[in-house]
Amino acid sequence: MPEIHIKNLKKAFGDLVAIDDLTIDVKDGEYLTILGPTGAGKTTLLRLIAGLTDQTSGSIFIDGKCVDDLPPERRKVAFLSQTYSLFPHMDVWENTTFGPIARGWNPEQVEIIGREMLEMVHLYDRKDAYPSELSGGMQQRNALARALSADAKILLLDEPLRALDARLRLDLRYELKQLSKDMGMTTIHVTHDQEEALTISDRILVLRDGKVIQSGTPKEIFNKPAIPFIHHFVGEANFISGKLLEVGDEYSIIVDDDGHKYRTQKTDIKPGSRVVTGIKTEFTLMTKDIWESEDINNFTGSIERILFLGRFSDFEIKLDNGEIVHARLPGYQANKFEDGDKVNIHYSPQRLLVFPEPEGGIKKALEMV
Amino acid sequence: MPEIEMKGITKRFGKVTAAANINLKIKEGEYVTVLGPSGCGKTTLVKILSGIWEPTEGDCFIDGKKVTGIPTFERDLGYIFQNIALFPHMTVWQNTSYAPIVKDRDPEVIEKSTTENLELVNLLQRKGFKPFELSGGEQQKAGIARALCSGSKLLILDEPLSALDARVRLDLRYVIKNLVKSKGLTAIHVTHDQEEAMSISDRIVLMRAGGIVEIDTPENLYNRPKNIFTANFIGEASFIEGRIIKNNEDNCCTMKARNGYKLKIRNDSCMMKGAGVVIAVRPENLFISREKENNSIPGEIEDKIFMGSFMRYRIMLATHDLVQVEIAEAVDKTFNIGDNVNVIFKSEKLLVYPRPKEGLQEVLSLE
Repeated sequence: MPEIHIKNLKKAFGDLVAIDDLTIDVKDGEYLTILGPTGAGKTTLLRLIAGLTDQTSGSIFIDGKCVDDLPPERRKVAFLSQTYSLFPHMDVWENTTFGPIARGWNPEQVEIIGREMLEMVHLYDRKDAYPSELSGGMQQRNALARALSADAKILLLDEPLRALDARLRLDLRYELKQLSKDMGMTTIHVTHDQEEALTISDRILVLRDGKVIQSGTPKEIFNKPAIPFIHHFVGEANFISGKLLEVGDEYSIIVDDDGHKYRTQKTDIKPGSRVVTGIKTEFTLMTKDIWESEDINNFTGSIERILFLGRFSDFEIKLDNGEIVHARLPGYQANKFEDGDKVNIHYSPQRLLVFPEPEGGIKKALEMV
Repeated sequence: MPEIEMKGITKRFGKVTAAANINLKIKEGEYVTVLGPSGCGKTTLVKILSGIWEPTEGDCFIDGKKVTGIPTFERDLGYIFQNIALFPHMTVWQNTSYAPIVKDRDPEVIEKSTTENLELVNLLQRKGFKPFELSGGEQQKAGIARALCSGSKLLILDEPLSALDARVRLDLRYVIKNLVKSKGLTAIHVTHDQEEAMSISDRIVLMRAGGIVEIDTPENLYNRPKNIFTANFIGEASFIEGRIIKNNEDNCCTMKARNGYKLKIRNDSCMMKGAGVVIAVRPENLFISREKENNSIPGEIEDKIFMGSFMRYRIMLATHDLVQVEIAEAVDKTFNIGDNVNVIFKSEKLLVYPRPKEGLQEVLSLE
């Protein structure tokens, strides 16, 4: 039985539909992230599950029981917001044990849970400090300890790392996942950060305009994106629009609007249809030797711009046919290239994913909200 | 064109020293980012430069002219804020043209400069919109156009991208860098995001606890960090502590880690036998093998994380050090959680530091 079952959930604010007929199951112990651009409805969904706002229609079940009429405190969910909202006049210990005391637990139980939670987030030795005396990361851990001491089985995290320094986020996102797994929690984590989602999730749900546009493991979302938008949002991709010419057992052939042909992955789409094909910049092969090859997926061009990112560099290449494409290379390969270098670009057919052409064209489909 | 110099700048708030004896020179036309964790003093530095705060000690020079005591509006600089700070009741056009109007420029000049700068950030079509009708990214573009429209050659960017979505941030980075370079501005950009800093800067000033840790190009800070804090802050690294037990003739030495495991490392700074040593290594510079190899330490895979085009492994070594190893998907032979493997250390890929007296965790701490 799924821990959380959401059925035909809808939330409208006047004419604006924030959540549009969502049906989702979350398994017991699963770490699910909800990924999407600003305005996708991520936070609204979390608030609906927590009971902080009422749905327009549809139902939410937790542990098989409908919670539509239950107030937040009786849903057995812990909610951690972006801004932590610690009580500024209470110290770490008082903030952490606020919930258990309010629920009338006996002092011994309060002592045990408070200590256990603070030890878990490595803050027990700072239990007398006030929020203003803590760093952002410590405040975040204090808020987490407080959320966990609610004795809930479900953890709802609304961009829990957003207010933190970029470098600290890298360390804490891993800790967050470990903690949730160690406690056997079922977690729903909202984020707009695709790298965060890839690295911590059992499953990712991509949300846009209040609808689920794909649900899958990080590997599925990255390697088999459902639509061009996801191909470009999780990682970054180069796209070509054209017509599907041939569909073979191993490859397909696409012809772009200038008449150039490309060999792509095989597809179920009917030949003759308008399609787009896209390859992730990580898989766009760039070399210094110009291949003397007849291969139609082979191009020459020159480097227009290099962005050093440490582990990677991102390259912008102007192909001899005028197209601008991007490639991402790991550091040890990237340092062989300079601005203006003539390069060879190759698209491996299996990496050129094929999609039906989105309504209004590829450019519109990739526009960020 | 402005050249910046900060000489012996110290700023105290009561007992707290936010900046301690900062000396910094920025060349004209240079794009410099000031990077560091929260509370390191980076914002203090640009607030002093822009005249929002006066230093407790020391002086700032813009174009060779001492600006201490000169108010912000007379320092001729453009300022881009983290919280964007557009006038909510004004349109994009009115916000952008605000500075030239206040400066009483000729209407034709105002018209021309506002049009040009809105075009540069691709917002001319939205000139009639009020801020609340724009997305976060568009609002910040209007903020950039407004700063550029002031006509000053010095641009200060105080965490300009922090309030935006991850993806919008990436796109705006390039917009900003291109504008600064094409207009030949000098830019000082404050950020806590090491990737952002690497992608846009000519040089990075890395700060911690009110002081400058290291100043260098992104490539040098990533590939050859002189300071151990830099190695962990700019890009991730795993660390192994040990002691030098033997010095070889080839500029290398043998280090003994916990539980008696030995590694051959470089010893370019000629550390003595017996000295405490720490090596730092980036996840992409470690390798895994099932067989025992030269210069390797056995360990067990604790976790495996999919990261797109590569896989990251977290491995607990027999020396009780946790290391992270990244392997490209193309060459990944799918090791699994619980597998016993050997982690291979290539001495030319290891960063070597004397072991810090305060303790490793203390010098690496981000909080």
